Amino acid sequence: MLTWRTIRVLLLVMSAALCALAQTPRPAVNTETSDSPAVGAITGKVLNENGQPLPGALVQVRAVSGTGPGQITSTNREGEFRADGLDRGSYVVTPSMPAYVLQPRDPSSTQSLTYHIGDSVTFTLIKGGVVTGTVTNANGEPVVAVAVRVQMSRDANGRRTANGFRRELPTDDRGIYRAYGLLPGTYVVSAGGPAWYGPSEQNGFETDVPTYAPSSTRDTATEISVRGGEETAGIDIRYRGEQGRTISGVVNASSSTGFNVVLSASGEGSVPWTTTYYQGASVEGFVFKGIADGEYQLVAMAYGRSGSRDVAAAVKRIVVRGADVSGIELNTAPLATISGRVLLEETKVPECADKQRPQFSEIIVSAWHDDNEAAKETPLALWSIGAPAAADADGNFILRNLAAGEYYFVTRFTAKYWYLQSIAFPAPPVTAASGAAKVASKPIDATVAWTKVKAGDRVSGLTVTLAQGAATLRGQLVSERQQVPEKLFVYLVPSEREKTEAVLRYYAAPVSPDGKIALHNIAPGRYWVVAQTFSDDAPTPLTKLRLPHETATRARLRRDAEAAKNEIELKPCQNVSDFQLAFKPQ
Amino acid sequence: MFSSTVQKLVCALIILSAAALAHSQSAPAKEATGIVSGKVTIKGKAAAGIVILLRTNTRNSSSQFSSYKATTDDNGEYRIANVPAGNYLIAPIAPALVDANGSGPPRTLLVNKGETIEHIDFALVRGGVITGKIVDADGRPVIEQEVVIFAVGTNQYSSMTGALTDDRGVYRLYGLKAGSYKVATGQGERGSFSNRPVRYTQMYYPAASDLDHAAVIEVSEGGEAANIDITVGPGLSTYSASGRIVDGETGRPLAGVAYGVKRFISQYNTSSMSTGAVSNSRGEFKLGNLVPGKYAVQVRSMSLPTGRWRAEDVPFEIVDEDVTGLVVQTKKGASLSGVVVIEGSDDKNARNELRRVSLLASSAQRDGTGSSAWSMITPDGGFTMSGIAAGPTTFQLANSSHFRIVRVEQNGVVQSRGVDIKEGEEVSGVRVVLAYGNATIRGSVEITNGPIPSGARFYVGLRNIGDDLVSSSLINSAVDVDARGQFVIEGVFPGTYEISTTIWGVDGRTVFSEKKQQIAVTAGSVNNVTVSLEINPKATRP
Repeated sequence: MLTWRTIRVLLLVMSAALCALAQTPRPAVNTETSDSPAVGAITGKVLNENGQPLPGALVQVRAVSGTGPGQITSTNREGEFRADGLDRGSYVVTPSMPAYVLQPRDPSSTQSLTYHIGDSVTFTLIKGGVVTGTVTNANGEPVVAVAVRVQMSRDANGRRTANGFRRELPTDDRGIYRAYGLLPGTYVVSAGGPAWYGPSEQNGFETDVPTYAPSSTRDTATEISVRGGEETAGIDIRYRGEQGRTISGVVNASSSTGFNVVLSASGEGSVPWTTTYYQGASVEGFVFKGIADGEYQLVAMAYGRSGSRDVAAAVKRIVVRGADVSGIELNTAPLATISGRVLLEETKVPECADKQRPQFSEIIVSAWHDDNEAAKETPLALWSIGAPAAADADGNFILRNLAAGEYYFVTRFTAKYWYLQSIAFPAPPVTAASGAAKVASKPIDATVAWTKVKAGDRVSGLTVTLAQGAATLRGQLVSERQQVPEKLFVYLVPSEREKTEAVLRYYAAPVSPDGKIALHNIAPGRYWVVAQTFSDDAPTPLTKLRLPHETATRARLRRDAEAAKNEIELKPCQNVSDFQLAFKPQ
Repeated sequence: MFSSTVQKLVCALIILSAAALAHSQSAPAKEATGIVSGKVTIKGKAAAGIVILLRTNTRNSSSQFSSYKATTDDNGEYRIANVPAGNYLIAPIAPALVDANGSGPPRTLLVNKGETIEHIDFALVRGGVITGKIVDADGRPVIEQEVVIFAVGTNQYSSMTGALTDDRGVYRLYGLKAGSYKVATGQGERGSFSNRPVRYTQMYYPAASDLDHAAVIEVSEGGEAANIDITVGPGLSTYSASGRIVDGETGRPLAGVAYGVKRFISQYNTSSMSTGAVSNSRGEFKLGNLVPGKYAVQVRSMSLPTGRWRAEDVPFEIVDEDVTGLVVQTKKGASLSGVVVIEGSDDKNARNELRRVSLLASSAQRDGTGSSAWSMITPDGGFTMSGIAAGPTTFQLANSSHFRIVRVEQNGVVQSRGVDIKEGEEVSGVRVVLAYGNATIRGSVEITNGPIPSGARFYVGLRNIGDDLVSSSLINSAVDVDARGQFVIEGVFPGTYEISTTIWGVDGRTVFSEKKQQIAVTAGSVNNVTVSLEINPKATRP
C-alpha cells in the first residue's frame, strides 16, 4: 500500500504535487481573454509571526517546469515583493530570511502550493528554533571545527521525515555550536562523519563515524524537540571519533556529463541519514568514507548530455559489517517516461458560455508511486527525481525519470468552471497487463488501477481530459454543537448508480472552524453530501479517497453518505452558495 | 564560508556544469607501507588528543585525496602506520592553535616505500580570538553578516579572514596569530555580488569609514578581544537593470536565454555572476539588487537557441536609479575546428588523459571585449567550437595538468600570436600541438655545515632554460622541500631546466642559502638530484 513517507518526499522535492488533487479554492480573478498578456507578475507580502511586514526577505519564484533558480527578488520596507516579467505557468514561491522559517503548514490544508501570474500571496515567516551545545572529546576538551549536523527526524505534526530539513555548522574554538533558523519538529544532532554533499576532507573528521548526541550511534540517537522561536540549550556531544568504513566502486554510464551517488541508511525506523557524492564527466569512481556499520541503499544517477533532462540510474543494497566495501559496480539504465496530452472538452450548455478555458501552461500532471513492498527496494532519492510536468502550449506533457513501480496520476489546473473528467490510456493498453489486452475496445482508466512501469519504459498516450461545466458548492454546516470538531471534512459521493466506481467523482474539503464549506471544480451530477472527521495518517482525505486501490474506503464513505440522506444535484457551471448541511456528531 | 541561499544555488549550477578536475592514476599495487611519527607540543608542553592528518598531495582516480590520521597520546606523541609511499601534506587538526614559529602548516612530506619517519614534530601555541556583535542603527542584531579582519602591517587583502554573525548578531574569529588587527563589516569597494537584500556600506571598528581610521585591536597569544561590536551604517540602495535579448538579424525576442552580469571593479578586475535566470517569452531580462557601479549584461552563447550565435556584453552604469531598455543583440559568431595532437609521445596514458581535457579559445579585441568558447576533445583529437567573436584567438587547456600547448598551427603555419578570426568566419584546419609532461624530478637537499635554522622553509624552483619543446615562460614551478630535505616535482615536460634551491627564513626575507644547477629531462624519465648547500645566514634579500 501507499505510505505517506513517499508522499512527503514528493511534497518536499516538488511541493507542487500535493495540492494537485486538492483542487484549491481559487477566486475567479482570472477573467482573461485570448488577447491577455503572455507575461505578468506574482506579487505578495511577507509577514512575521506577529503579522508585521518583514522587509529584506528573499523571495524565489521558480517555474514548476523550469530548470535553474528562477527569479529572485526581495521584500521592501512594507514587506512587499513583486516578481514580474513571468511567463504563463505554474510557479513555486519560496520566501526566506536568515534565522526565519516558513510557518509549517496545517497537514490538512488544501491551500495552494503553486501560483500563477496575477496571484497575490501572503507568507508568514516565523523565527526558527535554536539548538546549541558543546562537543568535547573523551578528555572533556573541546572538539574544534567539527561539523555538527542537525537533522529533522519528525516534522511538527510528529510524522517521520526521511529527507527533511537540516542544517550543518562547525563548532568554534570552545567546541560550541549554535544551529538557528530551525523548522519546528524533532531533530537528531550529530558531530563528524561524511558531509551531506561530499566528499570533502578538510579536517579529518569526515572519515569518522558520526557521533550522535549525547554520545551514541545512529540507532540510539536521542530525539530533540524544537519549537519555533525557542532555544534548546545543552545538547552536548561527547565525541567518539571512531574511524568509519569506506564504500567504493565505479558507476558505468555511457555519454554522461556526471553522476551523483547517494548513500542512505535503510531499514524501517532508522534515523534519516544520507550523503551524496557528485562526480563530473570522465571519472567513474566513487568513494564514501566515515561509514558506520549498518544497512544502506546506494543509488547512482547519471546525467545525460547538456540539454537532456533524462537520468539513468542504478540501485544497490549495501551491508557494512566491520569492514570496507569495495569494488561495487553500478550499471546505470535509463529511467522510464510517460508522455501524454491534456484534452479540453467544451460543453454547449448556455450557462457555461464565455467561461474561461484552462491555460495549458498552467496545468501540471504528476505521477505518484504506490509505496508497496516492492517499492521499498527503491531509494527515496530515486523516487524524488521524477518531477511533475507542466503541459506545453499544445497540451503535451512528459513525465520523466520514473523509477520502475506502480503509479497513479494527479492533475492540477486553475479554471473555475472546469473539472477533471478522466485520466486514461488509449486502447489497446500500453501497460502490458496480461489478459486485459484481449478486451481492447475501451480506454484503460488510469484512476481505478495503478499503472505499472518497468525500468526504462517509454509509455505514451496518457490522456488527461478536463471538461467544461464544473459547479461550485459553498455553504454552512448546521450543527447543535457550537464547536466544529477538528479535522472535519465535507465529502461529495456520486449518488448515481453507474458512477459508484468513478474515482474522480469523489470530492473532499476541510470544514473551516466557523463551519464554512467550499468545494470547487465539481463535475455536474447528483451527489450525497456528508461531513466526517478524518483521523487517518494520510495527508488529506481526498488523497486517500482517490487512490486506485481504496475501493473499500470509497464504499464505506458511500454507505455513510447514503445513510446521512443529504442529496444534491449540481447543474453545469452552477454556483451554489447557500448550501446548508446538517451535521450530527457521532 | 560566506554563503547565501542564492550563492548555494549558483554553486550548485557551477558544480553541475563543470567537469571535475581529476587525474588518472592507476590503483597503487600492494607494497610495503611506512610509518610517520612525531610529537606535538603547546608552548613546549606535550599536547594530548591532537589529531594529525596526513593527506595525499594529489587526487586519486576517484578525484579524492587519501588520508591517514592519528591522535597524540599523553606524551604528545603520535604514530601513523600503514602509510603507502607517496607525496603528502601533514598537519595537526587544531584550528584554535597556531604554529609557534609563525610558519603555518601543512608541510609536505615524502614517504618512501616501507620507510619509518620520525620526529615530524609540531610546536604550537594557543591562537587568539576576536569576538563581538553586529547591530543595526536600531540596535537589532544583523544576522549572517560578514565580518572580516585584516592583520595590520601586511597586505590588506592577503591577510583577510572572516566569519558570519549568528542569529544574535554575534561573530567569533579564533585561531589568530598574536598581533594587531582591524575589523570591518559591510560592502567594500572590492565586494563582488551579493544577493543579500539589505547591504551596508563598509564600516570599520569602532565606527570608521576607512581602514586608516580603524582602531587597532591587539590580540595576545591565547587572548580574547571581546566586545568588538560594530553598529552598521545605513543600508545601501540597490537598483535593477532590465531590457530585452533579441535576434540581431530579425529583431525577434529570444526566450530562454541564460543571462548574467559582470561588474567592473577596476580597470583590470571584474566579477561575474550568473544565477541561471533565463529571458522570458518576450526576451525580457531583469537584473536586480545592484549597488551603484559599472556593469555589463552577459549572455552565454551556449544558451542561445542556435549554435553559432553570440552576443556582446552590453555595458551599463547604475548611478541612482533603475536602468531600463537595455537591448542585447545576437549576431553570428565565428566557428573554429581542428585537431589536437600530442607531440613527442604516443603514450597510451596521454591519449586517455586527453579525453578529460577541454580546449578553450578566447578572442580579445582592442577595447577589452572578447569572447570565449570551449570544446571537449574527441577520441581522434578533433574539436569544434562556435559563437566566437572576431579578433586574435588564443587557446588554453582546462582540466589538464600534464599537457601544455606548445604551438598552434593553421594550414601548416605557426600562429604565434593566436589565430586571427574575422567576424562570423568559419575557421577550420587548426592544429593545436601539445606536449605531454610525465617526467619526475626527485631530489634531496643536504646541508654541509650544520643544522637547519629553526623555522626555515625550503623551496625548489624549476625554470626551463632550453628551447626544446616548450617556451620557457610556461614552465616555472616551485615546490616545498619536506622536513627531511626531500622533494618531488611531477608532470615535468621534456627539456632542460635550471633547479634553484633556496632556504628562506620565517620572515620570508632572509635567505640562508641559494643554489642553482641544471638538469636535462626526457619524456617519462625519473631523475634523481642531490643538492648540497652551505648555510650562510647573513645573506638577505630586500
